[in-house]
Amino acid sequence: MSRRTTSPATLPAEHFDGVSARPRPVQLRIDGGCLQVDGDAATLRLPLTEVQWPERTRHGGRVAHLRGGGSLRALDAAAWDAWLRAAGLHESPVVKAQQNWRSTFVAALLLLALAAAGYRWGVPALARAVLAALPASADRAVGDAALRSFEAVLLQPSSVPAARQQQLREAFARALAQGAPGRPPAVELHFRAGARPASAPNARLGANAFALPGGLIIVTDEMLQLLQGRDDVLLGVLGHEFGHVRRRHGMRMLVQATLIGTAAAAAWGDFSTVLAAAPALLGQSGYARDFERDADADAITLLRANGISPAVMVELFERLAAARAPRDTAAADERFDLGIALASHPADAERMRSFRAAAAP
Amino acid sequence: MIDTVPMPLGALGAPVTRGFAASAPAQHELPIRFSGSGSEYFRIWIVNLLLTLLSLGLYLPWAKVRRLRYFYANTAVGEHTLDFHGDPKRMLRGFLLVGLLVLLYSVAGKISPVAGLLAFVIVMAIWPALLRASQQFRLANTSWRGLRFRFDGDLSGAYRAVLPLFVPGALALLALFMGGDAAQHGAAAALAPLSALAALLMFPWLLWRLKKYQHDHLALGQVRTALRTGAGSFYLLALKTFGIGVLAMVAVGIAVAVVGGGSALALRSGGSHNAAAAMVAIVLATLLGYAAVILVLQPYLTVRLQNLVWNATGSRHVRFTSALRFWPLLRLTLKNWLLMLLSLGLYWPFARIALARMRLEAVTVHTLLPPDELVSSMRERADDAAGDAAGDLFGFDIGL
Repeated sequence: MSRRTTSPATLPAEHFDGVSARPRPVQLRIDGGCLQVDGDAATLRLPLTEVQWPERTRHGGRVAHLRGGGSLRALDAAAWDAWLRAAGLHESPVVKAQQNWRSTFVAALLLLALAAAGYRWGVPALARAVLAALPASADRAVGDAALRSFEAVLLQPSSVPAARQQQLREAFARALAQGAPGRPPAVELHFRAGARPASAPNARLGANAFALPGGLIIVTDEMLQLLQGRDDVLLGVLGHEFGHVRRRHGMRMLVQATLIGTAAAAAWGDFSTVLAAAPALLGQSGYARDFERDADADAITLLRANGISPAVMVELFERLAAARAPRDTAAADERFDLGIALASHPADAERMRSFRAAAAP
Repeated sequence: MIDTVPMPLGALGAPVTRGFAASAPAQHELPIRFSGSGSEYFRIWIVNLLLTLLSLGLYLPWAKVRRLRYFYANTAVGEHTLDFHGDPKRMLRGFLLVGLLVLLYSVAGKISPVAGLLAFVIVMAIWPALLRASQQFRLANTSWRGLRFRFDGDLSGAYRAVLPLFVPGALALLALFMGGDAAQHGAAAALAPLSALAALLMFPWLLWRLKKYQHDHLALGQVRTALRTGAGSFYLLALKTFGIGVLAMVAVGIAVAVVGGGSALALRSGGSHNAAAAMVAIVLATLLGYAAVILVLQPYLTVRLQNLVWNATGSRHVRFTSALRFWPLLRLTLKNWLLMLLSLGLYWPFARIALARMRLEAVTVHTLLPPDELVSSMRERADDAAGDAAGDLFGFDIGL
């Protein structure tokens, strides 16, 4: 379409002056880059740059806004669109895309690809960038708050003797000094007993270890009991948690959940908070698997640096499975994020395979 | 920033302008018709989403303006449609400002309870001002027949409206502070449920005050509305909703018991292998029951509240009738939910259009003043776009 700003054709319309609600019949004409409005009461002539044209839609009315507060209403939307087209006024590519099924389909495909890429690379990259700007003290504050809320329901003071606790802490520090993967951040090893909360009798930590932001690693008494006599396996568990700490997985979870939640809210807005939260929840589990794999890799590095075969970790999964078997399935269904004992069986098998593979020369 | 617009009509029922006095007191009925189409809004929605994602959210104000202009251009009151005048560039500033506020708010709660509490107190303290700004922005940028609407509620009115929320809120905060430590003080432990109960009992009153604040200050030309109903009608509605909720809960309870009993039998005969299946059945039944209660209560409340509020809104010259019906809305809600789930969310624009049609077309405007006689004393401008963004992000909106 060639650009013309002159059109001899006139279009009947209604003019509102912005002060009275009474419409005035007018004739519109575009010439010389100006809009001419001719009516019985008054005539107006204003440059096209001072007119905000409505966008073309299949349904709905057309009202153009004039600078200064007046407006023009179309009597016939189709005639209005044809008249504007004849005048050579271009519409934005967005309007063209919105009014065309083929471009909508392309937009939908692009959206899908973009969402997938954003989920796979964009959100983790953005989360890393946010975390790079966030000081480590923020991690610690989040970790402390999380530990307090865990202590309120799921944890009790440990009954492991202080001497044994100190011994484990020193052994872990020595092992890290032997060859921690990457630059070692400060970690604190805490021991707690799992509590069985009255409000949720099925939710118990059992034999577990987990990392909280800011370098807090919590090991339950039940885990120490499970791995009695196998401090080498315990080192692998600690190495796994150390991996979560080193990579700031806890904080990344928080940031990524926020990002996905925001994107979902932009799409479905006020339909339902439950439904809008679903993508965030489902999306998290995908990231969690990646995190576990990365933490396992760090555990392998630490074990090897200390001259221990990564294959010892198989013992952990076997003992966990043995401890789980007599219990009811409901308890095993309770999962704790970033815990070593994630109770999804196929993942367990996969992780055992990777530890065995790492042990092969 | 925000300037109160002087009213041509000082108060409700004040002397009328010449135009009105001269005209016959015939009643004009202006039905509301909605002509939006789901498939067209679907295209707008997809393109909006794509551009929002590509721009990392910066396109949001443009998306919102396109959405609102589409909905308004398809909402005809009488023969004239509504129109939206918001400037996306100006709204972007508001979005960024409020986005930052929301971010700080959500981060504060995760860093420490005290920081979270502080952020909560700050948000609560500015919430009424944001509510007012949101109303002002939305109405000042909405026009009909070339005239802009106005919201002329003042700032102190906004704070007075939410006062009932603040009293139990302050009590709850006090209880939180005192009982924050593991050591539970008796007084603090008693205060927390007490203030929660107070908040629950006061909620209908609060809702009434908020709606009254909104509907007492809607204005177009020389016409201004008022909400002419007391808090009692809101309590009655709350009571009815509660009753229906209890009935629905009982029905769900019976259903779950039946399913649970059945699975217990299966458990006895099938051994531990069926335990997981039984567990899944019970969890599924409970979830479905919960969804059913929400599905029934939400449209019920929507219908009753819309009819209550709009039927009571008016002035000497104008009044509204809203005849939204429960069963059609329930059917529509069920259909929307089902198709939303089946389409993995793609049905959303269709659902939104259908919902808007049903709610809008239930309303009729009756006016003694011929619409031609409406006159605005000035061309209003109220461009505090931060309030509008806050309305989106903190979850309050004008509703209809």
